[in-house]
Amino acid sequence: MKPRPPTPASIPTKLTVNFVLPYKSEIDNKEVDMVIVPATTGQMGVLPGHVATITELKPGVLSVHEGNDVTKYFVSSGFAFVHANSVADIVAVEAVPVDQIDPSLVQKGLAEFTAKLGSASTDLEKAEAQIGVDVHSALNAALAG
Amino acid sequence: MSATTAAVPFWRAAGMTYIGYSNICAALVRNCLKEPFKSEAASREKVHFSVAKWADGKQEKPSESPILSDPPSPSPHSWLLSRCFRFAWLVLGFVRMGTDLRI
Repeated sequence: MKPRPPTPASIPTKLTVNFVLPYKSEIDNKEVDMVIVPATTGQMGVLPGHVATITELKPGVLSVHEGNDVTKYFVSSGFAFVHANSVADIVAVEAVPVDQIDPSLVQKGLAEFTAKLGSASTDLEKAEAQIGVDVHSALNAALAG
Repeated sequence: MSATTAAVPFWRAAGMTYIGYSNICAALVRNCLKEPFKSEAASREKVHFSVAKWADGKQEKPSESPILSDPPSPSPHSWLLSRCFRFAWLVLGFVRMGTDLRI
């Protein structure tokens, strides 16, 4: 394994991003200006020189900003690790470009899980229905912009 | 001694683990994809395994190998196996990055 790059003396101009999924490496050691991650505490912007952070991600949009280009992915859940040396590692189970999402299936899912949430009896059923509502609402928001 | 008052996420309060929650989220997202991405994702996430019960130190006939696409609530045996496979994703992510996670 390669050792991690050391923390530089002054804040670097670029953030190095690694974005991995179980089945592929989506972004590998790419230098970008900023990433916005969907943390459980809200959208978090990571710039070079960000304080070292570990954050859990909620279903939402991850955007990678490089110059004028913005690449958006919908992330199902995962973690983001920001290191003191301006390297950001993002690990997710499932991440798709936003244009691969089917709006009609999202609406159908949202209606289905909202109904399930209303009729759920056990804690586990309620939790599963709540997860369904959260994920589909996030998908909806991602499609809206 | 003070009782633990840390707020837990709703899914943990309901008895779910993080990996279970994460897998459910991923399955729901995969379900909402357009074709052909949806079929590609489904075939990618298929898990094959067979389960055999042991009695008196002897292995009985293994069951037919089930083909599961991220089952939400399978039988007790396959639950544990699928969780073991699934937990690998976190480790895989770091191995794939090829660097250590020293902070």
